[in-house]
Amino acid sequence: MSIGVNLDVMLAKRKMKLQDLAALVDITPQNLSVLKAGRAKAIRFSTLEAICKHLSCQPGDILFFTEEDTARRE
Amino acid sequence: MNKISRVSGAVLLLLDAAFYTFPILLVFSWACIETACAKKVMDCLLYAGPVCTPDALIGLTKVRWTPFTQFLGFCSSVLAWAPAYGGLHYLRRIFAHYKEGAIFSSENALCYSRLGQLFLLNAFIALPLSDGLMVAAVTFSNPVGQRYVCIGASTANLFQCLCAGIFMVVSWVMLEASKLAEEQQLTI
Repeated sequence: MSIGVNLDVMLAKRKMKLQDLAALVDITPQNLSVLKAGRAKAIRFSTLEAICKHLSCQPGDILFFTEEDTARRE
Repeated sequence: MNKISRVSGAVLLLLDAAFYTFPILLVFSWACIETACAKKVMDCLLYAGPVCTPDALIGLTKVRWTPFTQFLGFCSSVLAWAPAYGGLHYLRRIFAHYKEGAIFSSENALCYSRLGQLFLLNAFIALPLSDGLMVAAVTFSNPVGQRYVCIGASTANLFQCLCAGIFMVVSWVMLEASKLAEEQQLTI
C-alpha cells in the first residue's frame, strides 16, 4: 500500500516544466524530482498548498492511494 | 567537509598500510622465529607478554620451537588476531565512507555493529581458543606430564564483552538516526 504521485500528469496538463514549477513553489528541482518520482517520504502542507495553487488543482489530482507497491497510476 | 575528507583519507592510508603489512609481519615472525629480527617483531608488535602456563610464564622468544610447535603457535596467532584483522577491514570501510562524505549512513552503522560482533567473537571464541592453543604450542616440547592445554576466561574477556555491547548500542543509535535523517531528507 502506498501513496502515488501524479505530478507529471498535472505538469503535462498545465504545459509546465518541472524547473518552472520548482521556481514558483520555491523548492529545488531535485526535491521536486524526488516527489515526482514517488521517492519522497513526506510532503509539507505548505509545499502541497503551493503546488496546488500554481497548478490550479486539488491535492487529490496530484496524490492518490494504491493497494500496490508502485507509486504511479498507469 | 573537506577537513573530514582529508583526515579520513590520511587515516585510511594508515589503516591500509596496517592491513597489508600485518599478515606479512605475522607470517615472517613465525617463519623466522629463531632470527633476532623476528623475535624483535614478536616482542614489540605482536604479543603483549609471556604465555601463562600452569608451571611458569614462558616468553615466546625463549621457547625451543620445532616445526610442529611453530605451526601450532602460528595457528594460535592467526586465531588471536583474526577478529582484530576483521575489525581493521571494517574500520577501513568506515573511513572510506567518511572520506566520501557519508558520515551517519546506515552502512557505517552496520560496520559498527560488525565491530561489536567481532569483539564478541574475540571474547567467546578467539581468545580462549588461541590461548589454549598457544599454551599447547609452548609446552608441547616438555616431558610427558608437563604438556598442557588451557581454556579459560578472564577480565580481558569481560572487557571485550563490554566493548561489544557499547559498539552494538552505538550502531543501533546510528541506524535509527540515519533512518530519521533519511526521512528528513526526503520530506519535500
